[in-house]
Formats: sequence, C-alpha cells, structure tokens
Amino acid sequence: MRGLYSSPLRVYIILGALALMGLLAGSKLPISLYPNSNKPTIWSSISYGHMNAEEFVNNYGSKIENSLKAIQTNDLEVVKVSSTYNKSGANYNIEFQWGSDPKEAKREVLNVLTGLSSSWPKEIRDSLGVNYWSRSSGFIAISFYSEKRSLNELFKILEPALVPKLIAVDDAEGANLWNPGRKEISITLDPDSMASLNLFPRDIEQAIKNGLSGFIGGTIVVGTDKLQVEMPRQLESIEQLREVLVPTPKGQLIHLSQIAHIDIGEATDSNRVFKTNGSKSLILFANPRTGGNVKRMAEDILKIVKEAMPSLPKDIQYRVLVDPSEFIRASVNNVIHEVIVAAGLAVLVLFLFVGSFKNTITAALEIPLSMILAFIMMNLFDMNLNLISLGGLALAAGMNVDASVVVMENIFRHMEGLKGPLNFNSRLSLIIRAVKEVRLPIIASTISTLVVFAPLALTKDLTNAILGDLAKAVVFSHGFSMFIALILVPTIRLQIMNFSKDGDVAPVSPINGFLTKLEAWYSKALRGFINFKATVWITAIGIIVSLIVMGTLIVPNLKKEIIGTPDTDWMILSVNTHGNTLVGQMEAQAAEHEERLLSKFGNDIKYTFTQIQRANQATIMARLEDKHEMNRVWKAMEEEFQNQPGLYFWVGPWNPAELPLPDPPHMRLIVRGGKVEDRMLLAKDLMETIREKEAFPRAWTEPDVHMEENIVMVPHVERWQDLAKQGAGFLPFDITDLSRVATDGKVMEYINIDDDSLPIKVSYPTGTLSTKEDLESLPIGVGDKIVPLRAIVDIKLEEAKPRTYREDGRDLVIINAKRNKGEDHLVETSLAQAKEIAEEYRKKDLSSLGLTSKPMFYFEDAAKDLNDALKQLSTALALSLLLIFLTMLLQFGDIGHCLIIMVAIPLGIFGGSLSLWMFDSTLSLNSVLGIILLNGIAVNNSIILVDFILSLVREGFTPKEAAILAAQKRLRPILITSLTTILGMLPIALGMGEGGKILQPLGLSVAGGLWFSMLFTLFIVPMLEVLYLKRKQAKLDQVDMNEEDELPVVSTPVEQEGVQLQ
Amino acid sequence: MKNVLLAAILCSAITQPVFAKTEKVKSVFIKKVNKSEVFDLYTFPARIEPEVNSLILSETQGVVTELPVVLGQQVKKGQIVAKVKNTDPVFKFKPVVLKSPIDGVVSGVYFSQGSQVTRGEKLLLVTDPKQVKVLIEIPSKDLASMEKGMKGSLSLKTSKNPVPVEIVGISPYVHPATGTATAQIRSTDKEAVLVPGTLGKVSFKSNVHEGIMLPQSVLTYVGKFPHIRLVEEKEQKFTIKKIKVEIGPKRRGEVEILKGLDDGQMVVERSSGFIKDGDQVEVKNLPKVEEKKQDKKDKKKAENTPKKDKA
Repeated sequence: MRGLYSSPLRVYIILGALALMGLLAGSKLPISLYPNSNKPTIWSSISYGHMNAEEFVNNYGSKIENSLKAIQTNDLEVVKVSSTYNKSGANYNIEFQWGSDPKEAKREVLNVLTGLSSSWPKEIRDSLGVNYWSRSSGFIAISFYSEKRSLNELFKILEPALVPKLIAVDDAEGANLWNPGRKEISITLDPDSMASLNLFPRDIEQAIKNGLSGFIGGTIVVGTDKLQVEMPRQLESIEQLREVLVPTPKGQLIHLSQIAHIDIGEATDSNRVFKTNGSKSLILFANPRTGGNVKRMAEDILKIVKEAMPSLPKDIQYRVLVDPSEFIRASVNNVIHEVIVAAGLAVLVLFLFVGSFKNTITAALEIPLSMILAFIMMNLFDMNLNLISLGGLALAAGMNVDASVVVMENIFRHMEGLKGPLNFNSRLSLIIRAVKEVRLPIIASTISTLVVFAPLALTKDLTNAILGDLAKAVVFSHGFSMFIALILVPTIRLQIMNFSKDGDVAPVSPINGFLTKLEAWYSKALRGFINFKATVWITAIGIIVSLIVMGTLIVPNLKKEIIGTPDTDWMILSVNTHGNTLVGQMEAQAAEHEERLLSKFGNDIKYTFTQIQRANQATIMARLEDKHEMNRVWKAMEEEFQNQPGLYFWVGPWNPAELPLPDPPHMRLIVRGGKVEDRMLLAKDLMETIREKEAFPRAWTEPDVHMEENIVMVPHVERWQDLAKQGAGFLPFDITDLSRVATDGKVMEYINIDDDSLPIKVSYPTGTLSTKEDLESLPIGVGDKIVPLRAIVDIKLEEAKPRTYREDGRDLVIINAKRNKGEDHLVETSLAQAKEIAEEYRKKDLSSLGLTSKPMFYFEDAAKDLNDALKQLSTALALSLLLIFLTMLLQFGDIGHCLIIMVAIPLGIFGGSLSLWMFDSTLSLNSVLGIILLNGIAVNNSIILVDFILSLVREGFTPKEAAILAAQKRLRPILITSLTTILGMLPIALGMGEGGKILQPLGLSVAGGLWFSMLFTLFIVPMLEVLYLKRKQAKLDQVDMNEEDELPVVSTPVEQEGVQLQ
Repeated sequence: MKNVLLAAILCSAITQPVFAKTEKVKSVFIKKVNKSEVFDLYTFPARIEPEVNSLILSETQGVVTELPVVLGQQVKKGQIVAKVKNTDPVFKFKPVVLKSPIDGVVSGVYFSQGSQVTRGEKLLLVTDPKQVKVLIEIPSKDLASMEKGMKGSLSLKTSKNPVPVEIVGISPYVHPATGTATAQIRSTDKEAVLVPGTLGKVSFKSNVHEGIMLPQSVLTYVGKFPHIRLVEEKEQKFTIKKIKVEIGPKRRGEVEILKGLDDGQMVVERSSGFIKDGDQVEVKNLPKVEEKKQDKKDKKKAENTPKKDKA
C-alpha cells in the first residue's frame, strides 16, 4: 500500500492503460435497443401431397409434433410446438427456450424433420420447408423518386446499382426494391369465341409456349465445320403475340388476336403493395433476419444507398420513410444523456457536501472511470450497449461515488486538528491510516450492495434475458468503483497534499452553515422523537398500516408489464378482414381506413406508410408529429377504430426491436375436445358472446374460426368418354384451369420486351364471373354444341373444412381477449365478467348450439410469462433479503441489530411502491429489480447509524446519548451517499425521452424508495436501537450485575468483516 | 402526512372505476324486410343460328361468267346471283342462271368470276337475317323445371336491352355426351336484331313465388342455426332482438328467409360494433318517410340513452 500511494506515476499509468483499454472496448460494443437475448421460433411447412389433413395427422403429423417437442440438447430446449393443419398443408411453429441460438435451433429442427422424412412419400418429403419465424416488426423503407423518369425507368437504373449490394447485407432478409410501375401483358379472352371454337385456356398457353421456344433441327457437317440448323423463337413483340396461331380442336388455325384483346399495361395485381401518403412509389424494403441486428441492418443499407447516390443520375432522390436505426440511436443516446446527467447531479451533490473543486473532481473521477473499466468486462461477457445495460451504468453512477466519499471523508477526519504542513512520510502514513480504517467497511458495503444481485443469477428465461445485463453492468462498474476508491483516490489526495498550498487543510462545504443547522435541528427532532412515549406504538402502527395499504391497495392496483416500451413517433393500425382473395381488394379497403385515419388524426400525423402483404391484412403506419403525443393518439385511435363484425383492427406503437418481448392477451380461454366442427362452432359463439357482452373490447381466436364456404366442382366423369367421342379434348383439370383464368387470371409465361421481362397474364373480361351462378352458366364448347358448365360438372357451395390447431399435441381453439391501451386496471374486472359469461353460457346457451359432440372450455392464465417472471423475481427478492440478513448477522452477530437495520427495507419497499403508484408507473421486471437494488442501498444507511451507535456505547455513552450523537455525526455521510444515488436516479425516474419509459420504473422505485427509507430510517432506527439497547442492558443488569462488561459489546464491523473476509 | 396519503389512496381507489365507465350507443344500418318476387334463375349460353340459310350450289360444271352480287348484298327471291357457262358441248355452252331461292343477304361467296366449278360445288350462301333460331342446351337435371312456352330473356353483346324470348320446343333426347337436351327458343320481340352466329345468355325464371330475400351478410349463426338481428321500435327507442330463422337456398349472394320474418320488419345489415340481444341502438339509415320526425327524436334519444343506461 505504501509503495502504491508513494509512486503515483505507476498508479496513473496502470489506470490510464486500463482506461484506454476500456475506451477501446466501449467503442467496440455494439449498440442495440435490448440485450443480446433471443427466444428463437422455427417455422416449418409441409404439404400433404395426395392426403387430406386428417390422414396426414394420423400418419405423420402427431409423430412430427412429438419429435419436435422432444428436441433437447445441451443448449436447446423446446418450449412449445404449435401446429396448424390447413387444407393442403401443415405449419409447425417450434418455440425454443430463451437464450437458445437461432442457427442451432434451425439446424436441429431440420435434422429432426429430415430424419423423419425418410419414411414419407416423395411428394411430401420434397415439400418440406424450414425457416426462422420472426415476430419483429423492425424494417427499413426508403422511397426513391425523380421528376424526370417514370417508376419503371427509375427501377431499371436503381436495380443494378443497389440490389446486388443489398443481398449481401448480413443482418437483412429479403432486402429488395419494389417497383409499382411493373408492366404486364394482359390477354383478355373472349368467352364466347373460346366456347364456339371449343378452346380452353390450356390451348392458348400451349400456343404461347410454342411461340416462345426456339427449335433445333439437327446439324450439318460442312468440311470440318458443324452448322446447327435452328428455328429461332417467334415471339419478340406484342404484335407477334397477336399473331400467334392457336390450333382449335376442329382443325382450324386462328390468330390469338381473333379471340382475345391483347394489351400492355401496369400490372393489375401483385403480392405486396407499399404506399406512402396514399400513393405508390418505388420502395426499398428490408426486414432483419432472425437474430440480426436491426440497427446495423438499417445502417448498412443506408450506407449502401448513400454510397450509390453519387454514381446515379442527379435527378434521382430518396427519402428515408422508416428507419429503425434512427429510433434506436435516439433511444440509446437518450439513456447515455441520462447517464451523463446522473453523473453530473451526483458530482453536484458531492461538491455541496465536500467543497473544493479538487476534492470533488478527485471523487467524481470515479464515475467515468468505473464506467469505462466496466466496458472491458462487458466486452468480455459479450454484452452490448443497450437501454438495459446503460440503465445499469446510470444506476451505478450515483452509487459509485459513495466509496470515494467515504475514503475522502475519513482522510479529512484524520486531517482535522492537524496543524502546519506535514512532511511526505507523515502525510503518507496519515492517508494509509485513514484508508486502512475504511478499507473493510467499503469492501463489506460494496459486497452487500452487490450481493443482492446474486439471486438474479438463479433466474432464467425472460427475467434473466432482460435483467441480466443490468445486473452485470451494475456489478462490474460498482465493483471497479471500490478498487478506484481504494487506490486512485488516496493517491490523488496525497498528490494534492504535496503540491497544493492548503493541501493539508480539510475543505469546508459551501453549504456548511445550512448543514450545521440541519444537524442541530435533526438531533433536536430525534431527541424529541425518542423521548415521546407513544413513539413506539405510533411507529409500529404506522409501519403495519403502511404495509397493509401497500399490500391491499397500492401493489394490486399497479399496472403490470414485463418491461416498458420506449415512446415512438410511429403508430401502427393493422386492418384485418375475411374473404378477400386478392391483394388489390385489400388495397382498396386499406385506402378507406387510411383516409379515415388522416381525416381524424391529420393534425397529429406527418405522413403514412402502408404495407399490404396479404389479401386480408394491411398495416398502416402513421408517423406522428410529436412522439410525446403517442399515448394520447394511441388511445384515441383505439377508440376510433372499433372492431366490427368482419373487420378487426389492432392499434399499437411501432417497436422495431428484435427482442421478442411477450405481449400476452389478458384472457385466454381454451376450447378442447369434441369434433373439430363443434369446437369451432363453440369457440365462435363464445367469442361472439364475449364481444357482444363487452367483457373485453378486443377478442380473437387462434385459429381463425370464421367459417368459409367453397364452391366445389365435381366433374361428371361418367360422361367423359362420350365427350371425347364428340371431339371434346379437355380433361377435368382443364376446367379448373378455365375457372382460374376466368376469376383470378393466370400468368402463363414471361416475355422479354425491351430488356424487361414482362409477365403474360391471361384472363377473362372483368365481371365475367362474379357469382356461383355465373360459373354454372359459363359456356363450354363440345363439338358443335355449347353447353353451360354445370352440364358437365356439379357445382355446389360447401362449407370449407375447418383447419385444426394443435399445441403440444392437443387439438384446441384459443379465444384471446385484450383490453385497450390504458385500461389495464379493468383487466381483473373484465376477466371476472368473462368468467361469469362463460359460466352462464355453459348453463344456458351451450345446449342451443345443437352440437353433436361435447367440447369443453376453461380459462388459462394468459399472463403466464409475466407472472412467472414476477414470481421468479419475488423469489430473488426474498433470497436477497436473506442474504442481506446473513451478511448483517456476520457483521453484528446479533439478530436484534440485524432486524433493526432491516427496518429500512419495508420502509424502502413502501416508498418505492408508493412512488410507482403516484407516478402512474408499472410493476415490471425493472421496478422489482429496482426494489431489490434498493434493499441493498437502504440498509447501508442503517448500518452506518447502528455501527456508530454501538461504537459510542462501547466508549461509555448511554444508549440514548449514543444514538443522538451518532445520528448527528453520521447525518452528512448518510445524506451524501443517499442524495448522490437519489439525484443520480432522478433523470431516469423522470423518464425523459425515447428510452426513458423502459427504465423509469427502475428509477422511480429506487429514488422514491431510498428517499422514503432514508427519511424514516434517520428517526426510526436510532429510536429502535435505544429501546433495544436499554432492554438488553436492563435484562443483563437483572441477570448478573457483575457481567456488565459484556453487555452491548459488539465487535466493530471492521474487525468482524476482517475475520470473515480473511 | 400519512393520513393525507391514505386519504389520497382511498379516494383514487374509489374514483377510478367510476371514471372508467363510459358507454357508447352503437349505431346500425338496417334493411327493411320487403316481400318480393323470389325465383330460381336458370341461365344458359345460347347460340343464335339462322333459321333460313340457303346454300346455292352449282347446277352444272363450267366457268362462272357473271357474279352480280357481293358479300353482304341484299337479294330478293328470284334475283340472279350468278351465271355459269356450261363447258360441256352437249349443253351447247348455254349459261346456267342461278337465282336466290329466298329474300336475304349474301352471307358467303366461295368463288370468284372466271373460276371453274364442278357440279354441286358450293357457290354462295344466302341467309335471311330476320329469321333466326336460338338454341340452348339444357342439362338433364334442369329439364324438370323447363317447359315449352316458358318466357325468358336473352342478353346479347350486340344490344343493350335483353330480348324477350320463349321456348319453342325441347328435344326429348338427352345427348349422352353432354347430358343435355337441345331446346329452341325464339324472340318474341319482332324488332329485336339477333345476329346469327353469335352467342348470348338466356335466363328463365322458375319456381316464382313471393318471399323474402336478404343479403347473406345479415345472417349470424348460433352453432349451425341461422339467426337474424331485428331492430324493434318502441317509443322511438330502437332495441335489438335476435331471432332464429329458417333459410332457403342462397342465390347470387342473397338468401331466402323461409320462416321467422315478416314484411316491414327492420333487420340489422351492418353495425358499428358487436351488438347483443336487448341492446339499444341508433339507426343510421331510417326510411325516408319518417326522416324529419326521426331526426329530432334521434338527437333526443342520443342524449337520453346513455343516462338511462347508467341508471
């Protein structure tokens, strides 16, 4: 130690080198919104081949489910296997445990399925597909435009410049340019001519195919040269397409233009649509791959675009519509900002108490230094800079100065009463003496603060995924702060004493006068408090009442959530319908809702971005003018877009983060057993009853129980021979081909015109087929007769076979329900109401359904993930309390003192819950963590008090005098350490900015709890200590007057800890 | 201090649920039930063919010397349409005059002046466009509903308005290949222009009766049983009543309600939310006759109902 302090250069070089390493490590830490954790879900699809759903389930399906469920290796464990059996194929979703490696999970699923597939028929085996299933809504969208060029021209320039690079982006999946100006060639057939000439679309397809292929007619050898004889393809232009010859069954050859209208135009239908502000534009769109970093993906893509722009014509411009990296950066920067503010506030408190800039800076150095050193560990532990780990650093900022303060304070204490300048050696020995005295208490209190995190290591899943980073960040930086306080602070202090004039004089706080008054007032108040006779009873009753109030009124009324989500300026309105078959239909509906959105919330919205990827679902995203309006707009949107029969909305903020935070429904009602049809009918009716009786504003099922009808065509096969005799060359298959062309249209081939590959889409005139009756009377040419289609096939409406949904091998239908934003306090009531409705339904309505089997229904815990996580944390909380207690016991060796010290804990918990409730915050993983952390900090104040009281009693003071004196003497250190922590937490507790909402509960519970606990500890702990010591003394007096010495003798914490630690 | 806090906690615990309850009257769009003509519609593709089609053959072998008509020319019965000079010396090269056997239009010319033709070769086709027949193929299962003399309508691409037609006769023979019997129909509108060779669509109403047709979207199902939501008016208040109905066949997106509904009742077609039996609602599209009165009542009702609901 002596060597260490006397050679400051060595200390500075070592620490400087470490700090450099830390800065390097810090700059390398990846930035993301949430910790590096994952709960991968792998998705697989298999088509049945010639089997139907039931046969497939019996032969292969259940075996597949069981095998998937049984996947278990060292690092992988399957949590849930859910499967949906559709009409022609099955989908499997395999959810893995938190922390599993997605790549490994996919490999394992693929292994299992490939293993099983050896026994499957080839057609089923070939259809097997396995991929990641991602719930992430993070994506980037950039629109390109030019005043001079058409979208198609723009696309032709951009595609070669961008797409090859986009494909190489590591974190992206399916990054591509989307061109709404795509052209297609439309061939509209004349139904009458087709019938008169006995033609089917198949004949047209064949004719076009022939036109598009070239033929080879052998080779001729001339001398040594080989000449190939060939007939090149005939079709190069639209004109040539018009002249394609179509042979008819009657032996004629007619031109395609005689029976069809051929045109080139914009593609009528596409499988996805993007719009911004209601109009289509050229869009670059990319999703992250599972496990990919959204922020990095967005940045890479933006870089590609920025780099490509100079080489492109100048008139081409772009605009970033949706950029997750901007959002994540803003959120993370905001937390970094909070960390800095926290540190600043802590330094301010320090200055107010310590005085003198030099000393303040000496202690304050610890804050950035311990943070930077923590980066080294974070790098080693493969962590990243995210809202959670940064929150840990912010949290630690205020706590970290504590050790330095204690060291300095003790140095000053030793300096008090010294006169005149000292020589180097006496300074050195003064500092060493001072440090030695506090070395063990500092180590002990650091350990007791950190020990509360130990039980967190036992939690798993969600809790660990989210809070692991926070705990690690606090442990690393607070741990380092201890070393810095013991090594760097004394070294600097020694240097100050050596080089500064007034270095040997203890500095005076700038608010010394105020503090002295405060001390005087406090000791007076404390004296009054202790002397007041009913104090004990008031305190006891007060604490009991507070705990009852907390247990019955405050905590149950707190909203529960897993973790807060950051405010965003993007709101999502998702529109879901039934029965559309084309993306184009959804486009029209989405436009209607977008208009409604803009007319109601136009003032709040900057612009919109709409995605339609399926025929029955559209996502309208609205960018808000002001993100602070998010909650208001969210609520108002939910009120505006109420669900209706056949039309379902979902409203929520955009969260581009990858971490699959569960967003469970508030109600989960399971329907099981019975026949599939009955299960569906029951679920549908139950859901409707719940909707009608308004137990919950939103209810939906898994799978969809909407009953669909199909038009079923059954050919009269017995006629086919006679039909063939009549010259009808078509087969039943050709009829479905015909109906497909007549309804949706069919892309038959692609043709290259002007370097553009255009689809050739063959269809019937719009409106040819709009009802089942139209299909029935569609003219079909048979020889010289023209018969309605229903003459050769039977056409009827039939209910579609319901799809079955299975979870872990159980056939079931789940009815989910949720309350709107901001109505969490109504969830319990709603759930009770739903249960009542279900009970009444069981008694009254069930019988009127006319079911032939008996499915049953029951409620399951919807918020299982959250409740499990909170339960785990509660266990962790209990364990940390036990650990604190044991640490105290080791230190003081007396259960009574331990209990008195731990009075700070219920006070802290009460204060924490109260402030959560008062600021309308939530009971989340973060707030419970805050409470755990609070326990560790709160007891420190009591320890300081009790420790000092005991040492004064040992010096011969009466318990009462000892308590009052100790409290007065220890007021300053208690205030410094508590206020640095409280003020350090303040920016987080205020929850300013994007990321703020995530950490706000943590800040609130710590700051609120600590404030409350400090205030009451200052009075209650000395009072209880006086009572306890008096009683103990009295008891001992009674038992044996001679053994007086032993009475309140408690070894000092220094000695006790020393023994324990050595 | 604690007391203040306690009071605050208690107050908020009591007031929270009170503020949370705000009820909203849902609105519905109704459809008035009207009995109307209900029928099954049978639609067939129809071929329009010329009734009188006269093919003029060469009566001799020779060279066509004269061709006074062109394609599309109107010809009278007996009008000379071609002359063929006999190349056989036996007939002294006397030209043979070919005349149109009917009034009509030249619809086909298969030779040109100076061509050598043989006896019996097709030379010209004369068609009377005014006399056409329309043929349809009736699938065997529809035969029971179709009969001679049945009236229907023929829609054509060539004319905007459908042409009234009737069945002239139905062949008793069902062709084994197509499973259809050919039937001939004719236009009852003498002015109508039917272009021979084209196709049309002919529809016949059958099983015509009075009944109630409603859009399929009005149906809600309880289990497999179809139900309908009625809107009942009582003292200017509109209440929902869910009733069970019996439905008939579905046609063109509509469904026939066989039992359970009466003329004049109001049925919910669309609603602004999920509504249950006994709910009070606001009707957005009340029939026009009562509109003036209703407007005022509506406003009053909108003010009254929420209060009553709470009470």
